[in-house]
Amino acid sequence: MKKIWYSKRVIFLVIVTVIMVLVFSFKTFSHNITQNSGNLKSKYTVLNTHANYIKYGNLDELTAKADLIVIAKPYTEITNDKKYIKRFKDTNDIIDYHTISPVQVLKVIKGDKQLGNAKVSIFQRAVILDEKDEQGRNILIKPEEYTVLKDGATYLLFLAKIGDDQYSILGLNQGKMNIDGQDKDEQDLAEGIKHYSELKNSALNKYKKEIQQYKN
Amino acid sequence: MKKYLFFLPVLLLTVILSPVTSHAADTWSGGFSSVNPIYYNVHTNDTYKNNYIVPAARNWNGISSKVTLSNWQNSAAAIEVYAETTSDPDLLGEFIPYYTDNFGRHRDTSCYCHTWNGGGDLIGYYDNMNKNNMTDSQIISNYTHEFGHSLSLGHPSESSASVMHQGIQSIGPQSLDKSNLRKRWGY
Repeated sequence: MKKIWYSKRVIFLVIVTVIMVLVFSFKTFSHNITQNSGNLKSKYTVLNTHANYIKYGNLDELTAKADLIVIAKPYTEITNDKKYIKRFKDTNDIIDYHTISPVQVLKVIKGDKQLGNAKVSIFQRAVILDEKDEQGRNILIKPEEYTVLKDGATYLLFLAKIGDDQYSILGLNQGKMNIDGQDKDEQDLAEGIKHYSELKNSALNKYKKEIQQYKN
Repeated sequence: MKKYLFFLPVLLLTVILSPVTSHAADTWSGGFSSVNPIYYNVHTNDTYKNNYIVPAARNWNGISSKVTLSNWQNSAAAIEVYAETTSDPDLLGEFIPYYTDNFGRHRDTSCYCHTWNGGGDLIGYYDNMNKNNMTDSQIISNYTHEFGHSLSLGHPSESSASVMHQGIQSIGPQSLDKSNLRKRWGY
């Protein structure tokens, strides 16, 4: 009798283990599918680079460093924007790159208030290469922790001035926060990187009055 | 049997709520096929190379018997190393690996799982390092970080000390980095 009970327990534990493995496998599989069907990977062959950036310890540091904090919308997809690729003359290797993307300012939170409703240019650390991949798709090069501005989405941007009406996003992705839930790639990034997630949550909380009307 | 059924939903809920992410892995399955040795070719003047780049590469030697970074001033080296300027005011360094087809066309590298058969370019941005008044040891640390990427080390998820964390630091490989290097390549 005791042996039968023991067998039942073993069978039960095996069943539970199998179920857990199946559920976990499905979760991982579906997560990968979600990632692969995101905005970027569905459109481009992505060359991920691995960069070291200035890290902003908290929102106060990010805010203090920003020349301009705005709520803004990109005008176009990155494919349509002006690009810059610098190559080393002897090897032709890519040594610097960016895309200049125009955005419509909707509200100025910090900085020159005259820029409200103006168009400013944002330097993104991402660029479409001139060549195509073996399937004829565009090739996008960017640091792994950067997600490109998505046309139609609305962002809270922390910017450094680098020229007349030209700005760069602070700390790669740290100074770029989608506020209307339209940027799936950025949501995935926020889930995966604790530091970015904390910065974004702090910013959305601090500026909740300012961003309220642009959230949907 | 019935008493165990109580635990089933609890266990399933635990699994369902556990995080699944492909970001910020400490090590990548992809990378160079072999790193013992792996050669780097430096495109800077000798002073810069000897003061910053060679010491940064050496920081990774002697940790694992399977990893040796060696300088070889030849275009056949797997890693090309540069000191350059950038339009991005917050960028300190970048490592760009390449995975190509037989015709040299780029393939996707976002899964961190492929062999970098197209080599890699490692760039330190001296304009931003100067702007931030980085010391010699901080510059070496920055290059050490980028060489760590060339050895398939990512930005660590743990908060303990690591040269692979983002930002300005003045450290070499720490316990976590050494452990990750051995985990990726062996002892």
